[in-house]
Amino acid sequence: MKTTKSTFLQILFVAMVFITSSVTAQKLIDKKGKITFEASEKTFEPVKATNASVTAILNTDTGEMASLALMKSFRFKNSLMEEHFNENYIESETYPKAKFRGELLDFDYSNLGENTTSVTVDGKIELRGKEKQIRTTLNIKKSNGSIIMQGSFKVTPADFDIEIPSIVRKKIANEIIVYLDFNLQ
Amino acid sequence: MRKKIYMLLGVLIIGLISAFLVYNYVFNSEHRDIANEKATVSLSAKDIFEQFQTNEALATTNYLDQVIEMKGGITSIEDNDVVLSNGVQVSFNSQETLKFQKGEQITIKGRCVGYDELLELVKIDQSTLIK
Repeated sequence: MKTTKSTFLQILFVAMVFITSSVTAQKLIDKKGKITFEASEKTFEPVKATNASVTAILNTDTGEMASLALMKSFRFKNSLMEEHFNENYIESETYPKAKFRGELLDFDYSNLGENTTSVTVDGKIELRGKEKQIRTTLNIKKSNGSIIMQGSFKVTPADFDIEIPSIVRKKIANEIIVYLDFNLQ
Repeated sequence: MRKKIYMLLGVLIIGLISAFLVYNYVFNSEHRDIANEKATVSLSAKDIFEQFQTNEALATTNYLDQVIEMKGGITSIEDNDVVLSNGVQVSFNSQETLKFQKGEQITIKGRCVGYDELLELVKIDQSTLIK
């Protein structure tokens, strides 16, 4: 009698683990997310680059989010600027990527509709071995089963210990605006 | 006297033109044309993926920004991208992926941009099909 009871409990336990894991694995992914940053100053050549193969993952149950951008995938219009970005400022050979980990606050996937809702995201960006807390508002909506997420935030070169030489300081804005555009499926 | 002035003018003009050309070369030079660059290494998709998984820092030093020739079987196709051997994501410049089929063996050439640990994929961009 005792043995049947314990087998029954074991089966129940296995079944519960199975059910919970299949429920929590609600992840939406974007492999081709877009991030553009701009640090342009008026009257000088635009300092702007876009990365169109950013990875973003959202857990729709918990609101947890992760994103990754490879530095070499940022494309500038001017090839010399791209070279300086990689070699002098970001040092992409040593620090090849930027990572974000955070969560959408008070996020409820079931309440999300076709109309744009504002959701606060809070998390940390890691770049060049430095971490920076980011909190911003994103515009989120559902569209054909996927989630469209757009927003922007500001960072400074000093946040990541990037030194801008005085000779080009006038040409690069102090505050860098980062725009993101994800389509999570 | 006149001859001297003409000569001076000529030198000045040549000087100006070369200064402009140098400026243009340095500040407005073209982007790299990966399709027309020679590959520095040739290996299998499985091989490069394993190297990034075992020692990412070393593989980054060896392959980042390098033009690589790579062979592998297609495990998935998505827009302008294919995944080779479940480990390397290859992005093409054009709609070349339309004629591919899953399971097909292809050889490509492209630039390595690094390792994405969220997707567990090595990423290659600006690729062209070799065969």
